[in-house]
Amino acid sequence: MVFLENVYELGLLLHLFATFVLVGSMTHNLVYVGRYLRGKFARQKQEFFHLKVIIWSYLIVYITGALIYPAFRVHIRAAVFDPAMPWATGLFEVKEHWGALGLAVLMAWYLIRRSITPETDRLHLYYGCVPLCLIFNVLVWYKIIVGSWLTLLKGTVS
Amino acid sequence: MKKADITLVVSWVFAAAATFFYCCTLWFKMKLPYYYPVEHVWTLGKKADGIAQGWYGKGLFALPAAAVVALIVWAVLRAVAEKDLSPAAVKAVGLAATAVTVACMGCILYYEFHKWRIF
Repeated sequence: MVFLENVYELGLLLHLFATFVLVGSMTHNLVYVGRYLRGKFARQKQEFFHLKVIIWSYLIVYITGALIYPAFRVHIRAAVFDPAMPWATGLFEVKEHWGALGLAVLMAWYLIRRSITPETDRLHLYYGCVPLCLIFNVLVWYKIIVGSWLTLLKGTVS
Repeated sequence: MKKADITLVVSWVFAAAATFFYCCTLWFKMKLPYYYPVEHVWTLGKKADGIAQGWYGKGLFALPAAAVVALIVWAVLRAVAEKDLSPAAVKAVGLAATAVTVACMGCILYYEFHKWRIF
């Protein structure tokens, strides 16, 4: 028996629910970062709060994904995607690689953001937090779109 | 050097180095830990047969390696750098690290899309 294959669907649901929280906090955060770019700095506490929510929800998404990966690898990727839909495996592999990089990008973003006051350290904001925020958004939205698509193709191990 | 400058440099070095090292694990076929979920065993390097998972090993190499590089940069900056970063230096660090990070992400995408014949 493959690790956690009997609770794969439950793990996938937890992965999905944590992703909902991640998307919500990312969207809120992006709105605040957009305001910074327009010179509005009224909601710095909320923006930083949403960054902390992003960190925790991303960690949960990452850990649940890592835990259900063996069952996915055997019963979905090796059994269905590799032989019949290799392009799906290609999309998935990028999703996983970028997922690991997301941890590094997120940690860098958090550390820079924690060390500055957006209103007074604008260069650090524009050349540190903003690009890291945009990279992280691209990376996570790729993961969400590809993850949803592949789950529609084959979402259970049974 | 002020704390915000050191944090900016060290954090960007960490992010860029992590993407670079991760890219290296793909392009240079490095001998990393692989997990075999059916047999429940770990091996160093990929076996000829069996369903293997290299993702854990790649992350376990790239992120700690980047952390080591970032720690070295942090120690050097703490010991040597006295002046704060100029505005041009802040821009240069941000732009260079963004370029490295995005380029390495693009390399990973190209590698997998090419391997699995998406293009």
